[in-house]
Amino acid sequence: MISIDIDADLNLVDDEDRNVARLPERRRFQPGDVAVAGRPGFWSWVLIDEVAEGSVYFHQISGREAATHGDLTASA
Amino acid sequence: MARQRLIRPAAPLPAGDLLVRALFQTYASGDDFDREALVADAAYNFELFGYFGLSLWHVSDVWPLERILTDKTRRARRVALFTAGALQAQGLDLVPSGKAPHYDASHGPVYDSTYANVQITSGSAEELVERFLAAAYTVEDNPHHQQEPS
Repeated sequence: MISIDIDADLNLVDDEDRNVARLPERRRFQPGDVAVAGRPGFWSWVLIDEVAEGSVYFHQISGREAATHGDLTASA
Repeated sequence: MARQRLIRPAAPLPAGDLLVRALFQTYASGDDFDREALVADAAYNFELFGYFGLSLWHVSDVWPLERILTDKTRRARRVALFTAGALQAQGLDLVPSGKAPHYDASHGPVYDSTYANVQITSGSAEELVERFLAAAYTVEDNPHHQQEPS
């Protein structure tokens, strides 16, 4: 089972077409980080674009792209 | 603090128009939706944008169902299909928010701002979700589902 870093409704996008979710407690993210966002049945690798005001903004990427950002097992 | 939300100028949706919401897992009760998760999603929309809302994707000539399934919901195994009429029959407004094909199902006064801090003070996340769950929908598997190995 996938370990999800960011609980997110991936149907939700902001005006820039980015997904957005509450910033998880006890996790630190910064722009450029790779994470897994979503919920069981609908999740994706994502690239963090912005962290602001208790929310994290990101866009969905492929596993191949995620791998270019580092060790996926460490992120997930 | 609520951010600004783009509300696109758009005519009310015809009753026969389709809207898609990607589904997560099937829950232990057999339900397609988790009520508490929907309430939390609607409340979070209020925190972000100042109104209770649940996100949907509108099927149109520019965004046919096939394109939505291969793009916006490609990571979802299943999707729920609503007609605009089914949602409207439950007293829900369909708000053309953000970039097309995004819409929100909302409950409260209709506004006609083109770009504004929207603030709908009536209704609640719970009431929105009750109405949303009462709307008829169909479920389809997404033949374009793409899931990366975990």
